[in-house]
Amino acid sequence: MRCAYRWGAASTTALLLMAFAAVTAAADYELLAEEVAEGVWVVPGTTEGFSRDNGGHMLNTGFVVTDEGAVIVDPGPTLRYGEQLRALAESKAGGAIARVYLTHHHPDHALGALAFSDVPVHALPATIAALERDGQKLLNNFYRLLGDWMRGTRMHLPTQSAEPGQVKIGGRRLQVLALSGHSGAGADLAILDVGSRVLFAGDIVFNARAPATPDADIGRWLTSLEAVAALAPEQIVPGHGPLAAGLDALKATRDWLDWLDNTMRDGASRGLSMGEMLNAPIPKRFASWGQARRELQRSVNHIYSSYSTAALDWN
Amino acid sequence: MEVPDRLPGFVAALVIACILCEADAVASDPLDSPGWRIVAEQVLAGAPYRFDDRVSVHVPAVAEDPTRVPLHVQVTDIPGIQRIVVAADLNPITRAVTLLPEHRLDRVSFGTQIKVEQATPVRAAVLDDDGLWHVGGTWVSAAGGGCSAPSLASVDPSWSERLGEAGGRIFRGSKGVPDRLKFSVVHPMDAGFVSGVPRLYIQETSIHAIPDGKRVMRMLTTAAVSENPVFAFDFTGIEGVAIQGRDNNGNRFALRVAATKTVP
Ligand SMILES: [Zn+2]
Repeated sequence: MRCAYRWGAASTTALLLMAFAAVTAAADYELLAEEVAEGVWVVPGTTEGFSRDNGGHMLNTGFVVTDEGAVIVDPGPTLRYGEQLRALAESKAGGAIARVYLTHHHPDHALGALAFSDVPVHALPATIAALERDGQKLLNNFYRLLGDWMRGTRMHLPTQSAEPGQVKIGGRRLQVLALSGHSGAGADLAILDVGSRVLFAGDIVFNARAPATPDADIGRWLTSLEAVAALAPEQIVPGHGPLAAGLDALKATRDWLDWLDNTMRDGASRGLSMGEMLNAPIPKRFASWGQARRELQRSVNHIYSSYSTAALDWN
Repeated sequence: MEVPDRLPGFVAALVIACILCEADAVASDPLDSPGWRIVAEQVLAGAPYRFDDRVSVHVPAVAEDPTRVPLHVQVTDIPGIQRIVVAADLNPITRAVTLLPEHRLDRVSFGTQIKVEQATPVRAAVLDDDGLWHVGGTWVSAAGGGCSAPSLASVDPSWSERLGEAGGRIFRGSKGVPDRLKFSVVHPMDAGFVSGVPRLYIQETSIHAIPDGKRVMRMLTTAAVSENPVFAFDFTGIEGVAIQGRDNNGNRFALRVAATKTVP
């Protein structure tokens, strides 16, 4: 990463001030677990973006209680979050953790894995590869964004390759799905508790919160949504936003992705610049969603170039 | 102060520091930027200026990728525009683009992407026939600090074979909407800040009308423009354009864009 020039004394002072502010802001995540089906617990986040105010606590994590201990779905953004999630899960599962699944490599979901360094941490091979490639950069960036919330957080790579299919753990059946489109090809894990038909969808599903697209392939993502729909889950725990019955959250995600795809294609067909796309009108039905304008603007950066490039004639 | 609250503290501290030492110089800048005096002296060459609402710059609230910050400049109803400059006060390379139209304009719609190293004002300044600069702009905040991008866009490894490849199109506007020229060039636009990587960027591009061959505009660019740059301009009354450009190493690119396609 380039850092072309340095500021003098003024910025050093300011950085010290920032460090001081971050320390005073440090606080508990105050995690709460909700039992959404027998032995299936969700730890709900908000529909915000990550910030120094929330310490990255803006995603849903959860766990399934089995006879061998809790199966954790996503350790969360920081070591501190992971530790607090672990304590919560242990309190509901008789003190044991059976294993951890990472749904994908994005830092808000994955960086808390260090809190589980003594238990198996499972992730899809593409997720492990992404963490090996980008983990340190993601970690550095999260230190910058979250400050003291990150204290002690280090990269802890998954120890096991997850395979799609059913697994039996402590008397419970779980079905692991290898999906694509949000974080990479074959890099999005979802996990169904077969007995209750509660699906932890990872970031393949967002609800009342605009989907994030830093690594998105919208076509693959839409295909994955069809695969999820075919499972007929009774409840979906989205990566971000409230839990929803049936396919409501899935349909909301599909609606946004279809709209985003059409908006980008339409802009490219009119020759609009990226800067103009930032102000594209957002339909009323998404107006109440968290982060709608912000995620649209991020998506312009992530994906508009491919639409724009395809709309030009190349020599 | 109009400094948004999402700005990193160090910029605010710089602003305060500069107010203490240079009270007069920053007092008139609506963006309260510590870098404005440099832009006024160096980019505007000390010529008279006014801050003008008719010049607007659209950027994202937060720079998702500091190496690729989308911007769009809109200028309305300023007669006799003979030059347009895009600059970012707190960038190591302040000036990104200069547009030199051959005919005086009274409106401008121009988009591209630039690099920023940190939170900075992004300005557009247009020079009128009377030698007065009209200046607009806005702050862009760099999320994680300018040196690291939250999104980890990978650099296209094949650029050296594809150097100078160009694509373009004229998008016919519907009634009352001007035509839009957009073109893109495969080019690293490297600032040469990393040792061992040479400075390599497109310096000058000329746009000529087809069929009469008259030059419509020249564009001067620096390495503050993003890799594989894309440029979009509003045009009227042009059947097609021939575009020629060269970088600081003498590499050339050329592109002909005929307005044959219509908006579907
Ligand atoms: Zn994600």
